[in-house]
Amino acid sequence: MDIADVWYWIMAFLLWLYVFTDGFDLGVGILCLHTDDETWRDRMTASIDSVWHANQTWLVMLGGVLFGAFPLVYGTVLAALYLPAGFLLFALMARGIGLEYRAEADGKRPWTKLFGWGSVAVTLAHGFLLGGILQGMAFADGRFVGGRFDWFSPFTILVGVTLLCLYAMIGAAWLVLKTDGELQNQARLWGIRYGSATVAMLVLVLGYIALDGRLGFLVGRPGQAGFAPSFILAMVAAVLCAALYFRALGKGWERRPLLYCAVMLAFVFAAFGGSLSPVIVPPGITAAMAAAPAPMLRIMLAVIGGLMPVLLFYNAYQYRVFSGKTAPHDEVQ
Amino acid sequence: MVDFLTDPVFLSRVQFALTTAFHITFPTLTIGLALFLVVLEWLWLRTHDLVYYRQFRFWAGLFAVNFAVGVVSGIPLEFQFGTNWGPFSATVGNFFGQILGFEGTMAFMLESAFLYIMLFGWKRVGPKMHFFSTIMVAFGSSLSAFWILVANSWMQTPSGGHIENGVFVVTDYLAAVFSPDLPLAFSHMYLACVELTLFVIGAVSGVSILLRRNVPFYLTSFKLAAAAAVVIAPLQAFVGDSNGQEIGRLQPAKVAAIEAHWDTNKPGAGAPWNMLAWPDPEAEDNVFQIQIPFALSLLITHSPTGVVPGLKDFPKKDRPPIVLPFYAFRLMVGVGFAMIAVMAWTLWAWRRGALTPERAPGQGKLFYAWALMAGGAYLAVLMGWITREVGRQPWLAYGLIRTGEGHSPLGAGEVWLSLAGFITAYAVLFSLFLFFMAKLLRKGPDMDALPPAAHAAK
Ligand code: HDD
Ligand code: HEM
Ligand code: HEM
Repeated sequence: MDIADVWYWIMAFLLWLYVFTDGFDLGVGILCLHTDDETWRDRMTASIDSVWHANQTWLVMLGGVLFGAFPLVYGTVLAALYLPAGFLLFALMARGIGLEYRAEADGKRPWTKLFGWGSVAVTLAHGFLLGGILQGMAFADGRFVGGRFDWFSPFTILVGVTLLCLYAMIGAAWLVLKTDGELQNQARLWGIRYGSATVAMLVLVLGYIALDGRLGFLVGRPGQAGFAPSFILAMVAAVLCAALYFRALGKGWERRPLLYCAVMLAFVFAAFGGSLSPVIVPPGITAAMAAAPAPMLRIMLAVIGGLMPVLLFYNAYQYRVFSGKTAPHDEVQ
Repeated sequence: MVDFLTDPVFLSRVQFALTTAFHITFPTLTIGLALFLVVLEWLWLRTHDLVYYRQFRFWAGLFAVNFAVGVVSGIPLEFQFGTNWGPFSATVGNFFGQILGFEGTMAFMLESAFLYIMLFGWKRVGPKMHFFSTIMVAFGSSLSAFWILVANSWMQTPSGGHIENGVFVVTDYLAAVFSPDLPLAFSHMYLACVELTLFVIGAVSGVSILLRRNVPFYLTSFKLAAAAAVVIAPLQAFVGDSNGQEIGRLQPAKVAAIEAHWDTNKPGAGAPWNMLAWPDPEAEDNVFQIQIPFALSLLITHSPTGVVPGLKDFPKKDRPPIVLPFYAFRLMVGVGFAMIAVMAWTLWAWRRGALTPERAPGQGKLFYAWALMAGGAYLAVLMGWITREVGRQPWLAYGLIRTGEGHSPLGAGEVWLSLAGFITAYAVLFSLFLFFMAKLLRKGPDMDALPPAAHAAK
């Protein structure tokens, strides 16, 4: 494997880590809009208090690593997606401030709303960015030649809604793990509802891709109809995980729903990542074309690759310190 | 002026300046407070005097409120390199972006993973682990200052490589990381963080003492801050002066602009220092000036007749703006010396026994001077950065890429939209920040707080 491809898969891993971990934070935010019970919301937000910031930091790291490993992608794609990228930044601010100051404020309601709607906005921005890249970007001679609003299309909207369902599904699984009693029962219901919605949306997205022949590169069939066998295989595995997820919820298990979410997501990533590789910005920009010079990638691999286990270790440690069912805010200290 | 408002490059510059200036307001304090928290927890572990535990809890609250804003305002900065300075990012990203990647990997991750243990983990981890977490938070925030200054110093004095086919090729990695400007720039910035924090701690404590709230508690923190500031304030002036000489060597055009110095002095004749002046770039002269003979040569070269190149030595297209760096620099230096004066005064008052619980609430003038200096510290940090960044113009990376060349192909409308968004969002954010800070300060320390059992035992 070329060093550029190594970085391609490291980026995919970081993206998966970010989508999964911040996914449940955002999911909790979305689910906060589903209840009016402020004591429930207290426990829901308290459950992510200790980790959401570290989870969000995977995005910061992802940005830095993308900047260093694929400068061309960083410098052209973000400029081409100026509006949704800006939208993401404002949404992240709203979500973060809603959550941080909710803990400090006396009147919780407006802050919960800011946190909740901020989470929805972050998710939609993810959808527009991810969808905007996945549907293919018009580049010629290293310059973006597409329209300013290319990122706003039926496909990107579909991706955005899929992510809303997906994050809520992961968020519900997180709440099943971190809460008990009636709130936990409600979380199971949310999990089933949003899990089903996620599966339905995935089917819709795949249907859309199949119908729109131009998107064949996403499923391993550039320029043709149908799906590549490896893509189908990975997707079947993902659907299997979804089935296990529903079963785990039904059985009342507490850890497994979250675990199955993570694995399901990994298969979805593997499916799309495998189809696209070595392309990093579809339809035509490959990882090798966009990558930094190899010596620089090697330095970065030595440093960041070496640190990765340490990061994962102390992040895990932090989860352990705050493991167990969450008490409401005022009992945390 | 109208041209400016429709020039996307200018608008992006304004946006970068505004957003970094906003961001820097918070990390400067959190970097310093994190160090202060380490000291407090160390004192607590050593003495088991409850006052240090309560000090820790109080200042940690302040830390948390600042940290929240520091983080949300930092993220837009990182992404602005890609959105607004795309060609710059594409050209130098393999080095510059990598450094930001290191910052995220080493510094931000460390900080954010241990932060919550430090703030809310008292019941969940033992004393040693808690102290370790506090140290990691401090270490992480200092490390982030280091890496961001590696990046910024490289923009000031790009080294270790050259541009080939539109990509920066690194030939000497260590030379690129440790660019000539880094050692002094980092020392000066780091000291600025510490100094600003000390004056904020001193000001909060001093004003609370004047209001007769928890006088013994705030006297403890005031004295800690004052004792450290006695050393830091003069040291900062010394490091700043060295910084100036270094810049004289590395970026002569910037120094000429900072000093509104037009004509190179003839060999044997000293260059005068303009204490005050109004530069006129059109006429290539100052409309008026108050000069001290030989002083500029002395300051920059440490010899009364050392040669200091004037602005006229540089082609017009390579000259930075003059008015802004000139006045920003003087404000910063003014604050720096005012701080030294306040420190001398404090030392004198301390020795005369003014800092006892009985007499301290009567020291109105002294404590208001501290409050003024706390504001001054923020001003100095912003002015220092304006000197540095505006003086770097017209280059994005000095001598390597011009600012205009590094800009993304954006329309003025788009940049206006984001700029207006930032101004609005930051106005709201800042009001919220002030509201919660005021709330915290009004509430004051919890004088009944007791550590969990595991921490209380010796
Ligand atoms: C508490 C804050 C503070 C104080 C009291 C001072 N400075 Fe400063 N100064 C900064 C905070 C700062 C800064 C914000 O931290 C800067 C901007 C970038 C940097 O690395 O440091 C800076 C930059 C900076 C530069 C570099 C400009 C460049 O790199 O282009 C010089 C020459 C000085 N300072 C000189 C001084 C002198 C002679 C001072 C005398 C007292 C002084 N500073 C006090
Ligand atoms: C945190 C304190 C900082 C402040 C207050 C600050 C201030 C400014 C100002 C006033 C400008 C506009 C200069 C002009 O166009 O005339 C600017 C531009 C810029 N600064 Fe900074 N800066 C800070 C830190 C940094 C750091 C750490 C970096 C890089 C790592 C950086 C990178 C840039 C870039 C890329 C631009 C835009 C291009 C340009 O105008 O040259 N800044 N900043
Ligand atoms: C243009 C320059 C800058 C960029 C791109 C930048 C980027 C960022 C980012 C992305 C974050 C959020 C990290 C998180 O999620 O934990 C952040 C926070 C932080 N930044 Fe910056 N930053 C810049 C300037 C500076 C400067 C000049 C300093 C200090 C010398 C600094 C110190 C910090 C610190 C300590 C934090 C942690 C949050 C806090 O303590 O408030 N940054 N910055």
